[in-house]
Amino acid sequence: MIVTLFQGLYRINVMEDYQPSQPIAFPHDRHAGVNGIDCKYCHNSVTKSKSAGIPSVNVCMNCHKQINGEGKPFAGEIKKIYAAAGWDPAGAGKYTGKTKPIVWNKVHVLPDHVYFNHSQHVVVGGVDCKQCHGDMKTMNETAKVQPVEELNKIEGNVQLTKPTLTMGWCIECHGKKDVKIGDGKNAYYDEIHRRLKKDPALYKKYYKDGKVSVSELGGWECAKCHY
Amino acid sequence: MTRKYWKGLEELKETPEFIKHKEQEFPNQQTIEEFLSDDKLSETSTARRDFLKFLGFSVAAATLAACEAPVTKVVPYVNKPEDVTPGMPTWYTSTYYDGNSYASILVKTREARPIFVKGNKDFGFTKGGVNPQIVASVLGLYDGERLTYPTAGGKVASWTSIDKAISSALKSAKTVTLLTNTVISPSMKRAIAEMSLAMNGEAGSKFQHIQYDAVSYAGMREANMSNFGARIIPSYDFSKAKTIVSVDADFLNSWLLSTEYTGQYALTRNPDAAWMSKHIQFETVMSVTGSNADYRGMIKPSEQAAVLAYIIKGLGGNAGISTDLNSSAKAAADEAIKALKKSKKESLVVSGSNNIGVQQLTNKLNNLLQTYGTTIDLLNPINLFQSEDAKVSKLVKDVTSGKGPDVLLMMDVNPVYTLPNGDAFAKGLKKIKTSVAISSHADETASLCSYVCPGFHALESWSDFEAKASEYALSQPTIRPLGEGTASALESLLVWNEKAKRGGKDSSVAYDYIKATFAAKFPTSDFAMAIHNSVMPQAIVPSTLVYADAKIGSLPKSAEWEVSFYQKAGIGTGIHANNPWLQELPDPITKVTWDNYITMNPVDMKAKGFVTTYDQEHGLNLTTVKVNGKSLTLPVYPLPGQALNTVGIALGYGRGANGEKIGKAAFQTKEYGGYELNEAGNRKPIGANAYAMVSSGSTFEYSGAVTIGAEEGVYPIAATQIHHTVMGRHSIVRETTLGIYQNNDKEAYNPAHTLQKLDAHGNHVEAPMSEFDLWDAHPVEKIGHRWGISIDLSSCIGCGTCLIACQSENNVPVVGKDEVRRGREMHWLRVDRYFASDEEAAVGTRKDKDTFSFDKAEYAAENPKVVHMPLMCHHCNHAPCETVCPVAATTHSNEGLNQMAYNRCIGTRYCANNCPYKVRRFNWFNYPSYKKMTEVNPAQDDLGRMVLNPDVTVRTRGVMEKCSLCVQRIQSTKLTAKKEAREIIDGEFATACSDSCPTNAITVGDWNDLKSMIRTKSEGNRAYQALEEVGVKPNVWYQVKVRNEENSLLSDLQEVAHHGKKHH
Repeated sequence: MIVTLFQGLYRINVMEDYQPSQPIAFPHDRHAGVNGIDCKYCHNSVTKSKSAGIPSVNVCMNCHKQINGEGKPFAGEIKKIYAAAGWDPAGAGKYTGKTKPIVWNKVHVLPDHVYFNHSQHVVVGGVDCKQCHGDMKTMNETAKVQPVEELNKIEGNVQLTKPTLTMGWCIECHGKKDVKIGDGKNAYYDEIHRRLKKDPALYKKYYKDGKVSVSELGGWECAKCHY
Repeated sequence: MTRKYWKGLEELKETPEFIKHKEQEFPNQQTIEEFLSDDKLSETSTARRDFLKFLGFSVAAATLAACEAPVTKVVPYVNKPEDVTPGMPTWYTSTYYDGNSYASILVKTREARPIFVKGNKDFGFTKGGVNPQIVASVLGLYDGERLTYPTAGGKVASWTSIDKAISSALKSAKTVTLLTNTVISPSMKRAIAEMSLAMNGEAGSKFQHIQYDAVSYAGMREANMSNFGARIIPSYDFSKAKTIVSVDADFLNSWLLSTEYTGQYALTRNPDAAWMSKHIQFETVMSVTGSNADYRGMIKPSEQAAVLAYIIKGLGGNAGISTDLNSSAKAAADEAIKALKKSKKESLVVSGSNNIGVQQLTNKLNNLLQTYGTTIDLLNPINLFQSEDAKVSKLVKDVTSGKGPDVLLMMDVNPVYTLPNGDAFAKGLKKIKTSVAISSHADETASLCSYVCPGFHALESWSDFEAKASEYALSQPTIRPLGEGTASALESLLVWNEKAKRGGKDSSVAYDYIKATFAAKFPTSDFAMAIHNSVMPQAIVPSTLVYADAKIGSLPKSAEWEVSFYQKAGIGTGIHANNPWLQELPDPITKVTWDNYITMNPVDMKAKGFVTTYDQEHGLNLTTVKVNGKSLTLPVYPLPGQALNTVGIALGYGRGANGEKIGKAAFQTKEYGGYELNEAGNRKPIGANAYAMVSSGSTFEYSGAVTIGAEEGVYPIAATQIHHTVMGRHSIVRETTLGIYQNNDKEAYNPAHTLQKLDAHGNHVEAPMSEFDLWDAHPVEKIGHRWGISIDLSSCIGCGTCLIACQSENNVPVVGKDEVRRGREMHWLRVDRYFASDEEAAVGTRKDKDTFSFDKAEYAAENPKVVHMPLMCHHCNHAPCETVCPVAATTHSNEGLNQMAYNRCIGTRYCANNCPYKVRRFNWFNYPSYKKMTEVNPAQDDLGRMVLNPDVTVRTRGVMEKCSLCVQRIQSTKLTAKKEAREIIDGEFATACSDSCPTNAITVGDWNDLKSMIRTKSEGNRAYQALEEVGVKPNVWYQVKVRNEENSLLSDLQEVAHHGKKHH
């Protein structure tokens, strides 16, 4: 019974389906899907920083200076951007200098004691955004944390069982996903590969399943994410 | 016979208290109430019994409640600045100058707020050298008691009205005096010259500018005036000096440009280089510099002249004064003569005295050695410390007698605090018609002024510097000014002189003015590039200065008891007294935190009847000392190595004695939080102000005759010297002499630890430690990375910069005096200071326990020697802490790191019990919220929290923490390499401690990289591992300390013993 209880407790998830309200009804499907804007256009620090970045208002204004949605049902939403940017669309339009930052509600929240770096996963690991965030091209409501079952339906995603954004979910992926080392494409990993070869027994053990997983390179170690 | 290393007299004598405490690692268990208490909890009315009743319900309730995630807000920029990427640090070059320390620095900002300061190794003549005060200065930026608005008559006023009042006062005044600390900013000098021109015209005398430093070096300038005809302080180059003789100059800690000298000195202390310098120190109080000397003579301050005269005589000169010396000084002086004769002009003699006569003797000796032109550069003088003691004394006389100037402008000075007669000056100041202070705080002086005009913090402002003739430097703001109503000091001067208009918070007045100064100096250079590098080399105006003998000025008189005033590594001149990091920095020599004290030799203390040992329950005796008719009462601290019949008192304490708002950490706190108050209801300052005792003749003198009173009760002291003892395992420190090192093989000075084992034939043979394993090896040796540290004990000077850098980088909490006293300081890195005496036999082999005394060892001339040893987590590959953790919260990584998962830790403290190095720290409280730490912990207010490093977790109550080897920096170094698809470059990864070390004593790197520095060092002849015999296989190496001395006792121990073994 105790085992069942613990197994039950491990299934508890606090994040899946979390869908906070937002100050602006932002449709991801229109932007990323219909208009085909690359995720990285708005979330542009995803390749550089630990946070992907919520776009600053000046990024919105790059397009919305022209696109005001007049006569459309969502014109009111775009007006909110104008209010934030201090943009007066009258006539040729001008910036008034009176800005008001938009206060969003964060959707994917990790506890303070977890260090997660987007650029590590996107640039080095080559993980697609949809692996964790789902297919935003079809997301027609405000953003939410996609349950793992939804994520598993997406083609190309690593198939996982633990609830989204739990530690089990992270390390499950670290156990399954392979790292390409020694393929001559990244000198850092080539060096790791050279060093690994010095220990033939370990090399053989790692490559028993034909690949080296993130966890075999230390991806399950505490201080990789907790410090 | 072995050499005995001891941290304090308590350990040397094995007092019962010491033995009790060394066995009790977590002294003084606290009650549950105290443990649970924090401000938020105490507001509830739930008693403990009720709490237990609620427990059953609340476990379930809490579990369910936890399923609701709190809503986190995220607010992006409206217009994102180009150089800010959330989550990524931005580094700025800048320059640090506070009137006492100077360095070229790099400032790390995150999300546009500065969080870390380190030395700039690439640009500037300080070459990356910094001191604890500079690294800690970033915390000063977030001090909540900094002024944010200008005040008139103590009330907040607008700049418009204040500017108008000051401008008109300047116009109508008959006399105007501008009192500043030494101005090394060419732009500020230009603004002052313009002011002078506007008021004085070509020849008027209405306006005068006086420079006044807290600690004066006027004696040096006056001596050079008499010998060279120029009031200069030359540049010194310690890196070229084969013999360094210092007469009471603490050049590794506080003397002149110590940030430059530490690096130069370290270069000459490498026993593997072509030559190693010989350093002879004569001093009164055991200083950081003296603790690193090869020979050390203990002298009274009045004997400085005799030391110099004795050496001059020994080299064939004649100073014309007495050469009588005590035996300790004579022995050291003879060594000095021997060494100086050999090294001749490749020598350097420096003196820390502010007496003109002593400095003239120093010049005479340097001239005799012909060091001018080799180690001393007269053509590239230092612009710091231009204090004009005679002018200051005249001004003070005028002010105190009521004849003061009509307008007194003061900038970055605090004369009420730093003057010997500050009280009288304060009274006079009130009579001045218009007094103006440009100051960050309403301090002792500013709070008495008619107008207080808050300036920017150094990290908020543009400035330029000319610390030396050869180099122009710039500082740039790293954050938008935090105070709404603060303004650049340069702008204020320009506005009052009607040369500029106020520009508000984002004013460009100072920037434009500095840019113009730059353009005039360097018409063809790019300003942006200069800011990028922070320095510009300048051509030196050639001149010829020739030494000429001069009549030696009057020398300090001797007295039965003499006092010496000195600066501590953390507190310095007192400007950083409000900085809790620096207050809690254990003094490099005494290891005392949060306090000022009188240092005295234990032999003298016994004669006077003072207690010479202390611990958590037993404090030190208070006594009253009298100097120049002024008295102060402080505890007497036993300091081995202090000259007999002398006492030492640190300057910089006793700030805010009248309750001035100088910062919340500058005052004494009660055991459970809140301030200790004096009779007037003001906050009690920490320590007492020793500036009041400085004598002001033709120059200020930091020594004199003293009388010492009787014992007046007991005062608790918070010192870390006997905390975290290593249980008498004395193999932890290894040292040798240069002679032994060069003429013997490794076995003599750095023998390997061996154990006996049975070989294949069943014989007992000695085998190295590495062959014995209790556990299977971790797969860290070959594959992947293996991070390690090597610390060179020859280079480490014990300054404490690494400790502050670690505190800043890793969000190490400040705990306050009471908690330090209980042994609960949280520093991840500590610097152990060992005194070494040759008199000890190995444990258990003492001569006669009852009659044997160590008193001789304590004050013998060549004793005690000092070894500084930084100690942090050793990241053992066979870590004893890991095996005893019941919840696997501390585990080993394949990169050789001993990892600590705070969230998993349940606080059993088994790991700390089992750690042979005693480097684990337990979180006893919620430091960021418990009321006991409100006054001292910067993380308790919104402003102070801004200094926290967002990449490192703030640990909570009840968990263990320790050095992580800056794992956040390891991860970021690896990530950068991976993203750039390249290998990690050796030297790219630096921990906070190695990054900030002014002597580069700490090397870190990837041990599995065969060509790395760390690998080379770990395989060198001097490499050893502390407590290697325990078999924990640490990833930290030390390099044997090598002293350039003759030491027959060490030679007996190492050479003779070793050879004896060989001949068998």
